[in-house]
This record gives sequence, structure tokens and C-alpha cells, in this order.
Amino acid sequence: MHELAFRAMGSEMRVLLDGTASLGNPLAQVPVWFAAWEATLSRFQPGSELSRLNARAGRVVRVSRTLWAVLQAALLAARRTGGLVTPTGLRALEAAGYTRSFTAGVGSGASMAPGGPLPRWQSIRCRPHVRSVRVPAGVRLDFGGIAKGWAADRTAHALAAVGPALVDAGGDIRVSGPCADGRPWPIGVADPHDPDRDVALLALRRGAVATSGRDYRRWQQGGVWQHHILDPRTGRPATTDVMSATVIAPTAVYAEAAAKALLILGSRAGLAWLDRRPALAGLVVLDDGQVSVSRRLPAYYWS
Amino acid sequence: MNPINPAVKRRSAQAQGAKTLITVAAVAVTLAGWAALSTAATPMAAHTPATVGVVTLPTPLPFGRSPSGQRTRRGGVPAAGAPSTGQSPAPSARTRSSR
Repeated sequence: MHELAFRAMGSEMRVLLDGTASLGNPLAQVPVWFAAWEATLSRFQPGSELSRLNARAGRVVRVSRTLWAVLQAALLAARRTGGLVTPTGLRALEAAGYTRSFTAGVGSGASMAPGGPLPRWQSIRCRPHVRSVRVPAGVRLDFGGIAKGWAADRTAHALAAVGPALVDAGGDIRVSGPCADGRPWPIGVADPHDPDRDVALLALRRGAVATSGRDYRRWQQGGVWQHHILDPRTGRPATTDVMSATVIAPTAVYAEAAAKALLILGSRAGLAWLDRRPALAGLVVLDDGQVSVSRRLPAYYWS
Repeated sequence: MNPINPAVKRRSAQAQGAKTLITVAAVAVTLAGWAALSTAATPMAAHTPATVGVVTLPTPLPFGRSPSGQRTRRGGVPAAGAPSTGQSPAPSARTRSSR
């Protein structure tokens, strides 16, 4: 088993490669990939391609393959979640105080904006044949967890040619297939009230699992706790009974988006939303520590 | 004179008998169906939770272990003094909100 851990995209990354004989270091290039993706996709780096695109809102801009791919993934996530997960929320996120990465220390003391619905994701214009994008004037994009999910999907796909792989991008986990011995990967679901413990142990043979929560990436502004998951209907941090939401999906991008949608919707509407989608299963941990699961989750219990 | 052929008479009687049987059977099936539906529906209606489609766990999940190996139960509360059974493997990875 090869294992590699490193930091990128403001998160802890970990990659496992199972069942391969010594082939040098097959994981050596992975941090290089992540560094390149971060340099393209980070909203915290003024020179990143995403920052340059945001600075040119209102104009047509040709973009790289990486930015194009992640933007399309973000727009697909927006479509699949009925707009609950949208890349158009950067201004509202900054207004809520999330102006710097958590590594740098979040919070600027900026005053809370009046709020209001976020700009519609459909307002972003894309022309595939020339790979150009027009972000409406006044709108700025943030890919958030979608970029990490995309990176996990992309890395697991690339490593699959070498051996069974697990990619953990800050808690968004993608596996390329079962372990070398054919068994599923055991995946713990961390308890948001006590992150050293797990509330469940899942068996993941393929696909991905991701968690979205209010237990981390939160800060105080004007004496009020804020968190980074915006409800696009209000433009403010979501008010919900869910402390953390975990979703199993075919891809890490979809799992990440669905977990966020589940948290925004709240436990009752969110789990019903999950049950209507055959590709998804998940659980929520509520503010009081109670755990509720979707109908399909028991199929993923470790036994 | 229009004498009824005994064979026709016999067939008519058989048909009548069959009709009666079908009617009795249909009534029986209907009654049985109602009975089955009412017995099935009563406990369902009585016990269906308000959150249809949402399963609030009556029993603990298949718990993983914390990195220290201690088992946990719902809500992450440690099971006091519970020894590790060795049945569950250590997780290869843990999903959590982004760190």
C-alpha cells in the first residue's frame, strides 16, 4: 500500500494506492497536480485564472481546460441540486466575512450585506467550441468544495491505471474501485460533535462519499456565528437543523453538491430529497447529536 | 312444441352453476382483499412516522472506531468501557467537513 499526505487547496489531502509492487513512487506527481489546480482555481490567489476571470466579469473570456472542466462540473451540480449549490455566491460569502482562506485566518470584519437571492447560475454563458465564458457583470465565482471533489475524481481516475486508489481531498473521498483483494474500502463518518470519533463505518466499493458541515470553517461576525454554506435563496449562511451531512454518490463532485444541498434543506426535506434520487444515499448528524439516515444508506453499512 | 333438449338443459344448468361459483369466489376474494387491506393498513397508519422516507435510527449504526480503537455509538458518544470486538476494520479514510 502506497500512502501520501499533503496540504493543498486549504485542506488536508491523502492518497492511498493498494496492491502495487514497488514501481518507484507512483504518487509523486499527485501534489504537483494539486498545486497546478489550486493555482488555477483558487479564489484566494489574486493571480489565479479564476481571480482573473472574476476580475473580467461582464466580458467574454477564453479559459483553460481545467477551469472549463471545473466550471462545467459546478454548473452540473447546480442543475442537479435545483440551484441549491451554485458557483455564483462569492460576493455574499465575502459579505458574510469569508474573505481569506482558513490557513490565513478567516474574517475581515466586513459588514453583513443585505442578503437576497444569489445570482442565478443560468446567467453564466458558456461557448464549448471556443471554451469561452461570460460571467455577468457584478457576479464573481467560487468553486468551493466542487473543486476539491473534481480533483479527487480526476486523481482517482488517473491512478486507476496503476492500482486501486482512494483519494481523500479534505474529507471528499473518491475510490477508483474495490481494494486489490476485492473488498470495499472501510470509510468512517466523523462525528461533527467529536471529530476523533465516527458515527458510522461505511463500505465503499466504488464511487465517492463527501461531508458538508457547519462544524468547521465558521467564524464570528458582529457576535454572530457564520459558516461557509450559503443558502442561495437568502444569500446568507444556511439556517438548518443539520450540523453535518454525508452523501454517497457516483462521483465526489456529485457527493459534495448533494451533501451541501442536504444540509441547506434540513434533515426532513433533505433526506426526502435524497430518497428521490436512486444514485444517492446519506446521513445527517443534527445539532443535538441525533443521526438520521436515508433509505438506501443501510446498503453501505460495513458488515 | 319446443321440447328442450336434455343435453342443452344439462349445459344450461352447468353454466348456471359456474356463474354461481364465480360470483361466490369473487365475493370471497373481495372480502378477503378488504380484510387484508384493513389489517395491513391499520398498523401502518398507526406507526408510520411523520417523516416518511427518513429513518431515525432506532438502533446504533454499524459503528466505526475512533483512531484510538474505542467504539462509538449514535451521536458519537463513547460506549463507556466497551472493548473493541475486532469485527470492524480501522477505516482507510474518514469523511468529514472540509479541513
